[in-house]
Amino acid sequence: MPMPDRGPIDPFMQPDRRFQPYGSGTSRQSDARPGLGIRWLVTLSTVFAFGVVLLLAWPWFSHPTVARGLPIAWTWSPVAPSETPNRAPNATHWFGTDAQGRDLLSRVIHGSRLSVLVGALAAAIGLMIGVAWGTVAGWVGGRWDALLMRIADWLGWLPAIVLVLLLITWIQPPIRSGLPESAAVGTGFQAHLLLLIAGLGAVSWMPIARVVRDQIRFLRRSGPVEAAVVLGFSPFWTFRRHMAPHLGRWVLALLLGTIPAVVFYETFLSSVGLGVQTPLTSLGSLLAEGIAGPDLNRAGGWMLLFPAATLAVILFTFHQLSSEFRKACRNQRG
Amino acid sequence: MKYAVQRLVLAIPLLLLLGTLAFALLRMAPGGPFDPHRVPAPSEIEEALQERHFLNEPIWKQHLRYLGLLWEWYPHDGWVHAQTGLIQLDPGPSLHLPASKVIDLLAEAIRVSLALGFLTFALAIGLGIPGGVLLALPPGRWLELPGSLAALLAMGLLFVFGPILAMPFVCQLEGFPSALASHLERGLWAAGVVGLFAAGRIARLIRGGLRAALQAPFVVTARAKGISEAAVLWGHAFRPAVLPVLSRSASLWAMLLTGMLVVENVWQLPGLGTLLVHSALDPDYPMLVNVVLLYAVATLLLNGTADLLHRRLDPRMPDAYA
Repeated sequence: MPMPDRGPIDPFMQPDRRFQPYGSGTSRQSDARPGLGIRWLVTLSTVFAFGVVLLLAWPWFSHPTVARGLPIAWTWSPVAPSETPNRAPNATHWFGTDAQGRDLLSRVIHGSRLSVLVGALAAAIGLMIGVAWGTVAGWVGGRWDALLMRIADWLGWLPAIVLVLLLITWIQPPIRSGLPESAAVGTGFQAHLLLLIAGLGAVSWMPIARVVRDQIRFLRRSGPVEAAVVLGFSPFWTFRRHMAPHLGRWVLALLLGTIPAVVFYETFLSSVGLGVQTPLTSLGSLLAEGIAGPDLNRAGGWMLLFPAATLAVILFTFHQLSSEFRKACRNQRG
Repeated sequence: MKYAVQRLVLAIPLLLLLGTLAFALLRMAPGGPFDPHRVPAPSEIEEALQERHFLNEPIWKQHLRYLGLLWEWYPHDGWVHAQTGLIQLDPGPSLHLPASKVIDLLAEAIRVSLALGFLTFALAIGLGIPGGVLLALPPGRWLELPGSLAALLAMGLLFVFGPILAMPFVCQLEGFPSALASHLERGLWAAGVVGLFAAGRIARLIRGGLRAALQAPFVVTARAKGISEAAVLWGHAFRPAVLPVLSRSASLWAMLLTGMLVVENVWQLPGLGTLLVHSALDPDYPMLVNVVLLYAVATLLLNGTADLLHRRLDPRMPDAYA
């Protein structure tokens, strides 16, 4: 490290509007709407409720056995069949039971946990690719920037699901055949899950790259970075010291914004049978059961209703969170 | 106009590149007739396969044949353009339905998807633009929270509404051999869900654009001239208010295409999205590659059109060749 550590230099610590076009700062304040308080309340309470359910359920549902003696609904196991199949929601099974008599509430909690996990991991992969891509494009500039961004744009034009389908269909059979026979039987679904996460990550970096590239280009013109470049510090050092700290909050906003998209893609893929495979349960595979299973004249609407409503809540929560974060980012920038 | 022609000309190498990528993907397809590692079939089958897919030709010839750029020399007829190929709109046979060509199956799906797409687009524009204008004006502000909630939840609840709404129609029509009526009903529901969601996005963009435009100096000037408020709105402020929609058209198109892909599968409409998923579930590689190719060409066309429209409405836009 060629320079003594004086802590991060932050050109944006003061409310500094030098880099912004005239008037863009004031319009934010006039944009404040009366509904904002309610929206925040809704967002926070959903996040809270969601987090509480996931956290509370964690120790019990990590085990396939039923935690006995607890008189609450989420002590049911998501995998153990019971003697009461196809029950409508009641006091014992809050969300009802499926055709094998498994408790739907616990399955929904399990499924949404996997869905959110897949979403978060895939979004993290997409984030890594996007940040690297956007940083290189924004830093190098010129013709390479144009080329890299053109590629990102073209890939981003295609629906992400199409690209995932293409990737999974082409890559899966060689991986399957590459695994030893014994492993392929036992861990096929795990390999598929990893492939799914990688595939979803590989198609969700394009908008991230665009935002990061714009940020880098913006920071590239700021005083500290220009000084560091003139003084001959390496690009890596300059990035780490003067750019990465500012990218942080954008990265968080982008991560939160990518998760709902990925969760939606995963749900769709699982609901048509191309996503999460049988021993595992995600919201999508629950929806697939709900779509295929019930005869609505008799029973079973809850099999569809509860997973879908959970999906709606998850998507809405992440969407709200990311839009609030994005707003905060813009306001902080100027 | 000149710009449009330039863009069309520059799209040709891009299309050739896409065709080449598709060809490369097809050759790399695991388990298909092109897989070099597969167990060889009996010799008659091998010969039939070679004849069908031209496997005994050198790879550059196969490539040109796939693109449709192959001319062959026949002693009596001279140079003859090969019958199949992308340029002739015939990318070859399907793996699963060997009797039918990919293009015939695609044509059916394209008809369904186009109809659905037009319906969705009309709904998105027809609801989104008036909605956005309404939201931007003072009397419409109370609509904001319910409007954005409805648009957000439309996508999340898609999986609930879709099958539940579709099922009664299926049950009703079970005795009827013709599924046309049920397709129409399901298509309307499907277009409704995606259209509503897209309309929400468009309305928000229009609202933002119109609010900014209504505060701009040229609107003050127009009002000072004493023309009616309607003339100010539609004659002066509306045109710049559409620009945010056009500048985000790429992500809007991607959203519309994704939404249609999903609803086609949820409502079981025999469109491109269903074809894509079915050919991926039990891999039919030629079909899959050509559907993806079609999606790619469609996105190029849609984005090109939006770009031209954007330039028409806002001549200050810089050139973007691609």
